Amino acid sequence: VSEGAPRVNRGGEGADRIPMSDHELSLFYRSVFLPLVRRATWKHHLSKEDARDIVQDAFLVAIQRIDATGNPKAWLIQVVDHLAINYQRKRIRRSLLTAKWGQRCETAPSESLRDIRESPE
Amino acid sequence: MIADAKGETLLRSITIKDWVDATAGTKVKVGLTTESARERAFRLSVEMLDGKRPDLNDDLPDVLHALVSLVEESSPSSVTGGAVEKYYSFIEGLSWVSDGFGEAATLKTRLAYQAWKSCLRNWDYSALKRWERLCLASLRCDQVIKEFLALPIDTVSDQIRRRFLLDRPTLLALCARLAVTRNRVPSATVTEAKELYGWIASHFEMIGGGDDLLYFLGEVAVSIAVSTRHLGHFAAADSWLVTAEHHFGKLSVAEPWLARVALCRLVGFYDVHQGHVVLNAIDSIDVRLERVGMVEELCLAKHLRAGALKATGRTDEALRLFEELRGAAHVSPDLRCQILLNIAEIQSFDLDVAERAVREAFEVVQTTDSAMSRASLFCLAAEISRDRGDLTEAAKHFRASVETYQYAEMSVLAAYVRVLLADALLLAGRDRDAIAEVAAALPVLERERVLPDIAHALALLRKCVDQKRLEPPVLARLRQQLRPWQ
Repeated sequence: VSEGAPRVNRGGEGADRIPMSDHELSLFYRSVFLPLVRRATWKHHLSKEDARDIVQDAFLVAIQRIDATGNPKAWLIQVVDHLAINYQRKRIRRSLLTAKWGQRCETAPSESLRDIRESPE
Repeated sequence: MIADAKGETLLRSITIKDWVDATAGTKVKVGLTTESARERAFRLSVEMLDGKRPDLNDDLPDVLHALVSLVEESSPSSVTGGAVEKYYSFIEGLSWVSDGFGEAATLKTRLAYQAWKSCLRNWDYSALKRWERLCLASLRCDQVIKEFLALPIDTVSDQIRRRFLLDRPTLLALCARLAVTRNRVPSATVTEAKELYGWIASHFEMIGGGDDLLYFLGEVAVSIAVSTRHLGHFAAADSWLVTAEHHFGKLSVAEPWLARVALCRLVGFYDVHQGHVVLNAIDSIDVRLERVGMVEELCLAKHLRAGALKATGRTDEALRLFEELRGAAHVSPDLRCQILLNIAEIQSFDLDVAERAVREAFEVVQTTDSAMSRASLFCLAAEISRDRGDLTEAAKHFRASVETYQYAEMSVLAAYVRVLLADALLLAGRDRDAIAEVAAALPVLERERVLPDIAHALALLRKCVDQKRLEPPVLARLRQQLRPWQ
């Protein structure tokens, strides 16, 4: 699943619960993570790496706000779309600024993906 | 459902937290890069066109996304129906493991849309209609888009509009929806269609223009024109038809759509009592529609011809045409309902036959959600009851018709049916109730002035209402003058 070893947190909050098994993590990877990465990649024209970060960010939002009794699938898609659109918009704005102000903009402090992404709210 | 071994959804905060914890600080593999997916998609397309069956492996979804992107990036004139058909059938035949997010449907939507666009440019009417149906059927599998399409466009925020309306299959779905609702709930359609028209027009350059956007502008303008005409605003309807012509005229293949606008314009003549104008021009419209193979529009033209024959007193010929259309293919439920209404009206000398046609039409109307057809049916059912001498039943049906027209915000037709109701109430000796109905109808008829020649009849009726004494001939005159418009 990962380029490094998955790190399952077995302590802290919810320690009395058995976390997802490797099999379940693999199922989650194939049936949730990858389809969302492909959506962000092909629908919003992002690189796979940017799409991965967008989806992981969407999961962070989901931990707090997803409602499994509603339509979690539709909700998660909307969060991914929203984050991807915001990211694209900021990327376009940044390239316009770069074109206008030149190299100085590219070396400005906040240029990593995480820095320029809007908060999930 | 996306579920674990116990059948519980994986989309719970606790499972998502497990995933986030497990993958924190790692770069999770994301499959093929877009570049390699595109290279493999190119090879796949060659294999598929050679009739080879592609290998199914974990990378296939990415390769298929890339394949669809390649089709989207080709110029519409180079997209061949045969190639798209092969890709489409392949995706349809796939047993896609864990497709909880509807990727297969998304790919089919995008492919079908490209094929539709190619048909629009290279003109193939039956293929155009088929791809439109396939595109919309797959699009509606997407729960998020389905929920968006259920919302009236004038009620959603600009941010949400931008998110959905930039997607062209969604625009196609909205245009198709307006084409249906314009004949069912015209008032709501006008509001919504004007919003959509404004949005597309103001974003036209920004979102890349093209034949398909021109088509959407023309089609939405037609929807506004048709709904406006149903509401009795004929001059506004005509100016929207001019707008539609302006957009359609810029299409690579303009003639089919211009012929359809010409047909819409002719319907306007029918509505203002000029059946003879319709009969003079309908042959040339038929020829134009036949030449471009627009079978559904040919049915509409035949219906219009039959209506004009009926309006000019040639009822035998009209009945023959309506009966032909009754069993014809390519007739929508809404049109079938109108055909049955006309048959019932022509045969109203035999109340049993007319009643049977009305009953059949009520069955058809239940398969649609057409307030307009339902209101017309209630009105005709009321007239049959009145002619049978059952004035209580007639008043009940007339009231149902008034309420349904009011629900559809068609105030002029509601006012017209109030005139018919007043007539029935007078016959029943309920003069005071009749005056109340006319008093409610008059302000609308006076304000809207749908037809120029009813001014005198309205003035006479106003005098009657002021004197609180209705004269049946005055009411009958107005009823007769309004009838052809209905």
